[in-house]
Formats: sequence, structure tokens, C-alpha cells
Amino acid sequence: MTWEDELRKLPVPDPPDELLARILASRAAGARVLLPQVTTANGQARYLRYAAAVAVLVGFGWLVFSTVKPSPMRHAGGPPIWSLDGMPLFPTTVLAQEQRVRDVRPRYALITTTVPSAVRAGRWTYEARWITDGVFTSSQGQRTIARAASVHDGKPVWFMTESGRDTVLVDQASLRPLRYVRPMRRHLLIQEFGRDSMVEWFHGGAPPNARHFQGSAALPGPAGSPLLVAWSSSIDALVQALPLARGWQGSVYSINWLVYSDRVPAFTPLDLRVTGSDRITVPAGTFDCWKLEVKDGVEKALVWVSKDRGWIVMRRRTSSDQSGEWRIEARLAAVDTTPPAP
Amino acid sequence: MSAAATSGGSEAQIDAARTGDPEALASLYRTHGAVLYRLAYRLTGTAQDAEDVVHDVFVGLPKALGRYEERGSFASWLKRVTARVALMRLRARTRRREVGIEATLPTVAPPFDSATVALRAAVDALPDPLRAVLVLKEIEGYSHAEVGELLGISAGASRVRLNRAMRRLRKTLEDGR
Repeated sequence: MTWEDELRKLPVPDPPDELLARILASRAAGARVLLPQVTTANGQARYLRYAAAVAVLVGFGWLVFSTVKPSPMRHAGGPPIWSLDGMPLFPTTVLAQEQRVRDVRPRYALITTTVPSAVRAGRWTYEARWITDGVFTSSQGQRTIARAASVHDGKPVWFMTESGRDTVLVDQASLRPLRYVRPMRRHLLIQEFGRDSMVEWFHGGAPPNARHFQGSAALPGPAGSPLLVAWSSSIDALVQALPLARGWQGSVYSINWLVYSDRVPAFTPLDLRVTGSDRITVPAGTFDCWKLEVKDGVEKALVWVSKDRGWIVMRRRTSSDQSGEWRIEARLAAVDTTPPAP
Repeated sequence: MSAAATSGGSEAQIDAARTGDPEALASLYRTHGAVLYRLAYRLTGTAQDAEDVVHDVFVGLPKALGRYEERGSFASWLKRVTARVALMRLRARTRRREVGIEATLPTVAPPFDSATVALRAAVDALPDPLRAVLVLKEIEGYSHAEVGELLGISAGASRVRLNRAMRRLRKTLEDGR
């Protein structure tokens, strides 16, 4: 078998089971997407015939005109710019390989002062959407973050989950994680945290592709400062406990996956800073908010935090270049502060 | 019987989906969703992007069906729409030129210890324009003219890119031995 044959047989995952439900939910919620127009082969041939006919007529007309009245003017320069490369879809910068620069040092003092009693149980549902040049482009579905009080090893903890896809237990007093479990389609990641170190297990795959990893690492920062688990809802709990005010700033370490520490550092500081206040309206209502900048190395997001409730009301990440601006937003759509069942 | 009726989408289903009927849309998803997801995954290289592409295709399908001419195969039309959406997403991803915290989440673990690791890595390492041509021509079986139409380039440019992609793949694989 040649590698060209192997290419066609490269394994590809199956779509997740919940995708159909997500599609139908988006439709039911009124989301609409404008798809690009694709002409059929017949349609294309017809257009080509029309184009050829028009070209012949124009050419004939030009021939007659130039014969009757030749023009002394000649255009200088090369062919039109759009025909040079023939790839309007991809800017040439695509070919550049950009190395991501990361600053692994916290920008501000590590957060040590929090108000853990301000953290509350509840369910927060967000609607994510993609916006291009200020125009709604597509819905990115809904995500629900749930938090309930529970007990783990005799300690009061917050049991948190995002759309049921992962679970993180956070110590209610210190807001440091104790256990994080993330089941995936064929893999399972478990992280357990002690006072100053963590252990991680990663299992999955079927033979011969089975992968088993176990690793440990010392936790960064002082034992009293909170920590976040990357790609989890733990930041939502921390934000409720922060004494946000004009000019407030602080950094917190986010724990990534040890199994991928060759690609992403095991710990990355998130730098948080209040940049102002704002009154915003989202589907869940109108809120007076602190505008919190969250910086992860060179990347930046904005988070609007309700002044009186501590809820994250909206998150936004914006990027732009000379051809436009793109942003993804998650807006609070519904809140249920009835404590969910443990 | 129309071509559509023989290619995984009955006329009744398509007509119902055109009106936004959820049952018809779900039925079309069950017939075509997996194939479209695989195409989107191969083009975008990530499960999250593939999921979003298929989501957008089916959310926008009822309106798009208004422009479907029912002359070619429905499955093939749907694949072309999906390829277009995936390529638009690649373009937007390139414009963003950043990887968000969630986007860096490895939703599909790499196939460690597999004989296909080197090939997968070599394909993943190709620049998006070259990978798109490779996937569409060598895996999906489109002609260079069709690839050119999807990518907005000429058939000749498609040939050149495929040649470059193949050379890069061979070199990467040979260097890795």
C-alpha cells in the first residue's frame, strides 16, 4: 500500500452525538446562517457559455472599433492584481508560519485576597455568536455553567460543570481546585490537586493506538492563592469572589494539561485588570458591570462582570487586521440561582 | 425520479427541509451528517471547527435549499456547500491569527504510537491552501477544475498546489525515516 493510499485511510473522528440536538436547538432559537452559493456543474457550464459569448462579442466590437479608430493610448503595467496569484480566498500571509509568543510570568501580583463567601450556586446559560465587521455572522450555540455546593473528603467544595462535559471540584475556602475530570469520546483526563502539587492521568484509545499517561508537577505560586483549571468553568467562580473596583488588577495561574506540556506550558498566568465600567444589555437583562480585561500572554479577552451579583454577563474576544474585524461573544441568556441538585 | 431522490435526499424530504421542518432536517443530517463532518474535519484539521462547520451548514440549509436547482446529485451539492463553509472558516481562522484558550483544547487526541502518526503529522503541517487542495483532490476525488472552483483559483493553480503539497509530504515523510 502506498502512502497515497494511506492518506485516504487516515482515521477521522465521528461527529459528536449531541451535534444534531445543537443544530435543532439553534434553529429553534431563531439562529440563521447564510450559506455560500454553490452553482451546479450544469449551471457553471451555462455561465461559462454566457461568458464566452460575451467575450466574443466584446472582442469583435473592440476589433471593429480599433480598425475604424485606432487609439494611440496604451495602458502601461502588468495584468490586474487579481490574476497574479489566482488565490483571492487565501491571503499570502497564510503561508507564513507564526510562532506563538508566550510570556509565562504574571504581569501583576498574584491574587491572594478574595471573598469566597460571595460565590453562589446556580446555572448560567450563555449564547455564543460570531460577529464579522459588526454584523452577526453565525450562532455558536449555547453553553450552561452549573455550580452546586457539595462535600469532598470532608471539605465543603463547589461542584462545577460546563454543559455537562467536565467536572471540577473547587475548595470553597481557598478557591483552589481539588479534582478535575474531563471525559472525552475515547479518552479520559483526570487531575488531582494537593496543597502544592498535582497528579494527572490521561487514558484512552484502543490498541494499537492506546495512550496512557501519568505525570505530576509542583503547583506555581503561594499555597494561599487561588488557581484555575484551564478550559473549565473555574474562572466563573473566581470572578464572583474578586473584590473588583476601579483600578483593580491581579494575576492567577491557570493549569493546563501535563500530557500536552510539550505544546502548551503546564501553567500559564492570566492577567486580570479592571479597565472601566459599563451598562450592558444581554438576553438575560441589563446589568451594571465592571469591564475586566483577561490577558493570557499575548491573547486578550474582555469580560463584563455584574457589579452587584458577580456574574459574568458577557465575554468577548476581538481580533482584526486590515481587512476587517472579527469577534466572538458569549452573552448571558438565562440565570437560575436555585442551587442545582448535587 | 430526480437525481436528488437517488442521492440520499428524497424530494419530499428536501421540500420539507426547505420549509425548516426539524424532522426533515434531522433526517438529512442522519443521512449526510457523518460524511460532511469527515470532509470538514479533513479540511479544517480540528474536531471543533468541523463541528461548527456542520452546525452552520444544517442551520443554514433550509434557506440555501431555496437556491438548490435539483439537477445534480443532492449529496454532491451538499458536500460542495460544506467544503465552501469549511474553507471560509479556514480563511477566518487565518485572519484571526490567534488561538483562544478553548480553541487550543485538543478535542481529539493524536493517534499516538500509530503507524499513521507521521503521515497525519505531515498532512497537519501543510499550509492550509496546500492541505485544502490535497484533501479535495486526493481524498474527496474532485477534479482540478472543481477544486479550482471551490477555492477560487484556476485548475492550473490547483495542479501546482497539489504538486507542492505532494512534494512537501514526501520530503517530510522521508526526513522522518
